[in-house]
Amino acid sequence: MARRLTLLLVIVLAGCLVAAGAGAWPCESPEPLRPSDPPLWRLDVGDLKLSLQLLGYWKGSLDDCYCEAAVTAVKAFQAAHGLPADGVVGGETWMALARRLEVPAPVPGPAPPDGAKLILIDTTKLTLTLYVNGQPFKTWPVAVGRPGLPTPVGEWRVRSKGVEIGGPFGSRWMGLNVPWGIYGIHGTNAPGSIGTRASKGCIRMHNKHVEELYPWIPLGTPVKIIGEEPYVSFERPLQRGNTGPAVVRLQGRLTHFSFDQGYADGRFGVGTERALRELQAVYGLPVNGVAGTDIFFLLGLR
Amino acid sequence: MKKVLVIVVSALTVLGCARLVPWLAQDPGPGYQLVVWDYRQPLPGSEYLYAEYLAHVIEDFTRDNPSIKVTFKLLNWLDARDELERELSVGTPPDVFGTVLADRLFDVTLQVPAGRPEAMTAYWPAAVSALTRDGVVWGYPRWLSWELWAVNRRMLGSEHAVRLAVWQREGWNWTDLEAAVGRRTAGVDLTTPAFWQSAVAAAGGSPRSLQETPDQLMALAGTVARLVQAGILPRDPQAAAGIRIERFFQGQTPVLGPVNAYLARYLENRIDSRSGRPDPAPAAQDVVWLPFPSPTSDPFVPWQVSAYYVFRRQGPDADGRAAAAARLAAYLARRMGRWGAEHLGVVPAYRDDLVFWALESGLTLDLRVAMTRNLDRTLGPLLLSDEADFWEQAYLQALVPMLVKALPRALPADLGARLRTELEKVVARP
Repeated sequence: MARRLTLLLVIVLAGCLVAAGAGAWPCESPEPLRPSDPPLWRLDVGDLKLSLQLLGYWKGSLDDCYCEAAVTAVKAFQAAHGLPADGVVGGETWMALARRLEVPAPVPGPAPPDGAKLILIDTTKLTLTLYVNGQPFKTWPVAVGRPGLPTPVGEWRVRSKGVEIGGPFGSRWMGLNVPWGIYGIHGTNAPGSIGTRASKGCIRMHNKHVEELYPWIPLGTPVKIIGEEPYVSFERPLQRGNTGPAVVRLQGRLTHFSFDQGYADGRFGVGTERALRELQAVYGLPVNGVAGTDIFFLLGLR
Repeated sequence: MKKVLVIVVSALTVLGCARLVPWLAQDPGPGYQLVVWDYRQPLPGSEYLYAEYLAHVIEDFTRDNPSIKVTFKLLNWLDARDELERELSVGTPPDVFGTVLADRLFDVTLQVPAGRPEAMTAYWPAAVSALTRDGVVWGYPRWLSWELWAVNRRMLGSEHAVRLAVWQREGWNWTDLEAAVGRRTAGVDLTTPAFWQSAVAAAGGSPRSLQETPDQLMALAGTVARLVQAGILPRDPQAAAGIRIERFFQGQTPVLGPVNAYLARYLENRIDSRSGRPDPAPAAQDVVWLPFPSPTSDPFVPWQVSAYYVFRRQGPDADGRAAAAARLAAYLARRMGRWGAEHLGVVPAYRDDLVFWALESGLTLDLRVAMTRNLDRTLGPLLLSDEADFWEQAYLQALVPMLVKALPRALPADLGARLRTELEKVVARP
């Protein structure tokens, strides 16, 4: 029964990835790493090397090249831990690495009280804090997106949940409703990366930590991600129907200017247009609901 | 029907009633629960500033009037009027309604007059006249909001730069604008009714109606068309309307207009904080605020009056409740007018607060002198709701779209004729 459930969740997640279309990408790579010539360059190699380094198998740089020296280090690790020493880094090798780096299970504490929950992720401090009724309840360390693949700053909601997905997603998955890609809060098979900027934009937690958090978070829970905002160009007008990081920035500035547009969720919808029209009315600008040059300038986005 | 009621009320006034509404003078009885609606006043980074101040003022009022309880709600600028009209249609308006643009009566059967103009000497004549219809004042004015034009002193030739102070004091006209702009294009938004209404008023017409003063609009349209075709005003008004602010602050246009009080306040703060400006982008000391261009040599600042209206609620002791609401509205007008003076730079409608405004508004002396000269002007008259709707639609749906489309191509003389035809069509509508 549990296997069937797991299989179903994997299928649902895979379906989500496909349905997200060409502009989206999964925030981790589930494919195994294999030795090759020329060597493979992949974003999760940095995680692998970091894990090997923490366990004393790697002393080189933490780049993304699965080069010969790295394959040799993997084979040494695999041989020492009863795995086939073939240099292929799949689920078993990742889990073996993770088991040796994973934090111990947290001492069971009280569950959070009933009330409105909010997850706040600070990409500067690399922490995730659960708030209940506006009060911080508990904080955990996380890994966030690496430079060039930033974790999406904005105001999201948990829209999907899954258990035992495995691989780079670890033991739990909580998907966010970011409109321009697949992002979520999940466990990891690279626990050594926690406390660093190592992911493709997802928020990684130790498996034991995400397992603790998971049952407290119902679908629809708001997730606010704060931190350094990525550079966004404001050359083209924004209007109803647009999505993306530029819309998040616009929404954030509208809120700062005291025009309530709801969540800064990257979707230019009715609420954003209404807030924009009110701003245009207050400042004596043409009221058309389109954010163009002067609006960007006025809001300090240009 | 509404007009008849207004006439009846006015006639009573003329016939020499001691007071317009005698029961307004009575002491409110105990136990009133009043409802105030007001527009939000959004300021960058200060979502709760206005709400907190309003709550504080209401607290002061209820301390002095312990039998009166007050709740308030702040409304979105886009929805406020519709929301009020919805409640009026079912007979449950708020007791006090604070509006940023007091250009219309909503419902003379439920709206409570504030008094006669000659009795409201504590307020500026401009504010009182804007709220007057047939000898009756229909609201308590709180502030007068203005529109100005900004000029970048650095981009003007020396002969025009020295004339800026004169233009501030004595006004400027379209010829002065043409000379100041030179071979550049002024950052003027021709696409909003506010521009045309203010320009007509600057030419001596009525900003609220064109029925009696179509000649000003036609003369103005001819002037504007000539300036558009000469490249002094934008040849593509639609495109220019959305980029004029940035162009001004990048030093690509020497003139920005019109600029309302909210935008002016924000831009002054923004310009102070900008560094690394390209030449000739303006520094704070380079921006000079001027009145609206006018064909006469008299500085003209278009005003919009913000006021508190009182509505009569049905029910037991409706008169006592309305009297309590009137007392609250007058109190709010005075106190919130000061808030506007300090945070928006608008002129408090209460005369005695002029010194406070002079000290707290942050506006230049020249500009304050020009503005205060305007405070004795007559605005208005206050329109009935259907009249206001009519002219709003006429400007929004007929006159301005036609002008914006025709300006780049039509000969000034032809434009006058086309405008007259359009106007006759508009005015002829039932």
